[in-house]
Amino acid sequence: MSLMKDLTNGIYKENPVFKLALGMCPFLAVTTSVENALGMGAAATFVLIASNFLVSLFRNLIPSKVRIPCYIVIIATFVTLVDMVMHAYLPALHKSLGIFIPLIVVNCIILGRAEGFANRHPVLNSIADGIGMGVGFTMAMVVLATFRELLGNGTWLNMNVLGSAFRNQPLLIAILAPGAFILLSFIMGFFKILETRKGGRQ
Amino acid sequence: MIEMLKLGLVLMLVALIAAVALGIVNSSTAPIIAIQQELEKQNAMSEVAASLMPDDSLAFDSLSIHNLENPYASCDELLQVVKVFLPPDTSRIGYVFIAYGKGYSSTLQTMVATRMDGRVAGTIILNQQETPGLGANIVIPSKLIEHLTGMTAEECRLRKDGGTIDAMTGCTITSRAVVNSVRQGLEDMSGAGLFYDDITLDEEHAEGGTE
Amino acid sequence: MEHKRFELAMSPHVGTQQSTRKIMFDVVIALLPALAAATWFFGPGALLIVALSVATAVLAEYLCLKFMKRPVSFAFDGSAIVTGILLAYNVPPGVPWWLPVLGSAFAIVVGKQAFGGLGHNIVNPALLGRAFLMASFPILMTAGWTAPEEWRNGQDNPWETNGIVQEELLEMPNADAISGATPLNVLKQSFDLDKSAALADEEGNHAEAAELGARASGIRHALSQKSTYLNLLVGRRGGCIGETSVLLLLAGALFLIIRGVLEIRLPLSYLGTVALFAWVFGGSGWFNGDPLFHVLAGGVILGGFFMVSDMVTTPVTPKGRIIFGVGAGLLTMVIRRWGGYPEGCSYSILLMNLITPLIDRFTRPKIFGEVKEND
Repeated sequence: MSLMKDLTNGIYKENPVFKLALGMCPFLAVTTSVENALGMGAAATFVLIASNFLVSLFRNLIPSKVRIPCYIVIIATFVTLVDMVMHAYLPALHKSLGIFIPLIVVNCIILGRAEGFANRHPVLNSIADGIGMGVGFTMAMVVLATFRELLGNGTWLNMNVLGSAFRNQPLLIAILAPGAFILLSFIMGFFKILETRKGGRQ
Repeated sequence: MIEMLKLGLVLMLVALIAAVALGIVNSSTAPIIAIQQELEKQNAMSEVAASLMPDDSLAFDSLSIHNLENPYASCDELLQVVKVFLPPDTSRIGYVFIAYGKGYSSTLQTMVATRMDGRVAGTIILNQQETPGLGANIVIPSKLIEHLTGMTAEECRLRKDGGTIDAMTGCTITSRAVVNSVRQGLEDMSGAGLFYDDITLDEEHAEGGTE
Repeated sequence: MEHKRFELAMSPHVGTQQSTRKIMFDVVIALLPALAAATWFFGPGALLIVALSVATAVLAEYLCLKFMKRPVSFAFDGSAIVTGILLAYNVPPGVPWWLPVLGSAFAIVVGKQAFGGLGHNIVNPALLGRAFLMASFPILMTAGWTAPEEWRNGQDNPWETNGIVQEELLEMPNADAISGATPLNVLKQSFDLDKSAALADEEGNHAEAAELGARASGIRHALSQKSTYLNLLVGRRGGCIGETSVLLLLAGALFLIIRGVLEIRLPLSYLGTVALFAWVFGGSGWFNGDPLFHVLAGGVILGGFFMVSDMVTTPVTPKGRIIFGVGAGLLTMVIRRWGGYPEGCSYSILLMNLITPLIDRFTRPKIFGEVKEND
């Protein structure tokens, strides 16, 4: 039962982006297209699950004084693994995600979950939490990327949705950096409204 | 003291395991990555060389050209020129080179195929991170890229700089980066005596030792 | 909502609503003469753009207030009208009709209401709307210029001027001819040629460098022939809708000064800095620039009197206002002279808007008898 709770926790209730405001750097930077968002999400989810698993497994062996360096080494190792494997087998995606793959190392979500969850929960729960958080992060990125790609390029997952008339004059700002901030604030505002409404009813 | 040593030992152990794991994966992926990159480069070269002669069996051979410093490109490397020929005949039908030009937010890598008379035959942008929707549109077969075809080094210049090529509206810097880097490359090759008008030495000699 | 959770009424921190209204309608009146000039030089299309922009601004304000359950009467205090007019004044006359609508809606929704309405916005909403349009539609915003009075001697149907310019743009996005129509654009091109000449000189092509240099000075000569001070004063030049006629803009500003609405420190320090900078760095050498040209061409008169002097987004202390004006003037000229854009008026004001709280903080007057804190 609690396993299920840990799994769904990251998807909405403690969504790393919209609720905890973690991992903003990759979130804002790679959401220029849904394809990038999915790729980044998959990579981050893999690292998250793997690091949560290992941190939880060795939580009693790692002395608490050096736990942060140990977590960083574990995370960095997995990020480098993902980087190499992606470079070898998915070169196109690797090229478009560019610098953001190595930057998963400093994604606060991953260290945050290692420190905040995995180091005091059993292995299975930690894996569940990693999956939930990873899926939540990916979903949040897909939501923002959907808006940015649709408005800024007229496409969704590279499919032409809004027609060529729109594509000639898209709302370019959506795909540029300021558009990411503006749209993020609108999405967060939307969640805030939902929450207030819910809170009002209780 | 003992505790310090213990902590250090734990850290070392963790780092060691990580290093071994990375080493194993690296040794298995590195060759694939190398093949991948070589393939990518080959594909790009075939694509651009098709403008010289639409034939799948074109072959490439890199030339080593020395003393070709490129002060205006933001790249310290020497110009890498590849000779194009159609086996079994080894006489060259043109060259492919990569031009590096500093654009608005990135260094643009442009791969250019030139004919033996020093005219551009085809151009593709290999790598760029310009503003999406503006400078980045240069990768969509743009009028600017089309316009480069047939140009010599002297003609290869933006209208704003006294030439005949129209810059893409709103992205003069990107356009100028491409056009100027291509011109620089053409000038350097011409300076090295690679084009017909300049070739006085016989083939083997000019290649400077490549077989 | 069944019951109100807050009994406090949110209000702009300006006196009573009555005086906000009065000030805003004074500003609207002061802006109207320039609209007449715009219609005269760019045709009824310009009038249409302004009307659409104002209508959208008021409607967007009304809908926002309705959505946020605030008194909708704020929508009619005139501030949305001012934002709408200023936004339309900051776009080229040849833009398609939906452009000012989009910009105006963005200015109100994101630039003003998202921050809490009038008095809470951190930057000038109209300029934010313009920045949004510049980032979203750079081609239309930098190339939609029409030559003055073209609509009366060229086109058959003046209402179609917009459409024609836009079609030309979409068909040949590389066209260079259209994008060079404002005096500052032309000046920028001549500086670009100078740069190429210097580059050619460095490469050793001295003949080419001389030719490019000659072309640059030829362009500057033609510019001084075409954009005489008289033409610039009257408004016979290409440019944004509202920046055409310097004389009529000044008349509006004078009206505001007489009504006591416009505080003169901001515009004076701004325009003074622009002129000084133009004299020192504006020419091809030192101390031979043309300060009058730089003040008259482009948008600094419009910006200086109607946007630098915005009450909400500029410092309140006298010293702070001078700092603001000087800073904006410097930024404007740095962008014009060395930046990527020919005109830097709007970005300079936006940037200074952002540091307004900081300026206010550091220029806060000392209260009599206050003891300096130990830090």
